[in-house]
Amino acid sequence: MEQAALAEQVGVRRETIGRLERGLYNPSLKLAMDIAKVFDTTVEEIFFFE
Amino acid sequence: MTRFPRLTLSQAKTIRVICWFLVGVAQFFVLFIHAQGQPMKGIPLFIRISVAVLLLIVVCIVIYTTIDKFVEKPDERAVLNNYRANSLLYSLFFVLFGLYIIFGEKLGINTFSINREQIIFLFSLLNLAQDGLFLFYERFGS
Repeated sequence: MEQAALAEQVGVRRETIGRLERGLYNPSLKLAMDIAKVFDTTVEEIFFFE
Repeated sequence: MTRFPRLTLSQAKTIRVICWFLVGVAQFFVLFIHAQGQPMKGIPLFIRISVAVLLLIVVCIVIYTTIDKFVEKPDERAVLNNYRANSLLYSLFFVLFGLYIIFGEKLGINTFSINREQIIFLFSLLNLAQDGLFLFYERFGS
């Protein structure tokens, strides 16, 4: 899935998805859950603390 | 392709930084370089008209970049970065007021007054700083 498509589905800007991918931005709980919902998985499967 | 292009938030802010910089430079010229009270004295007519047209275009661009229809909708990161920019500016003002309270009298600045031209200059500086800080946090903020 392209960044722009995911961004549109979860209602954020493409740059925000890019920064999420690079680990430069911590999403809100709502955004994390929205992204997990798009991929039909859990938040823990996508995001983790280092 | 629409008649009026829809800008990303970063593009809109970058354009606005350039616009406020131009307004600031023009106002700086009026306030500090040219004869105060007579900013147009001795300047050829075509330069006056050019500057007036440029500033009019700048105002139109600033208005364009503030209309929601033509700019990308801010998301949670943009809102956060806006808060951070505003917060830093507020802190800066807080410090400046504090310094004025402490040192103002010693420096002989007991009364502080700002005229219309200075307010326009401050307004452009504030907007320049706010949009510039937003872009800084967008690029380097984690």
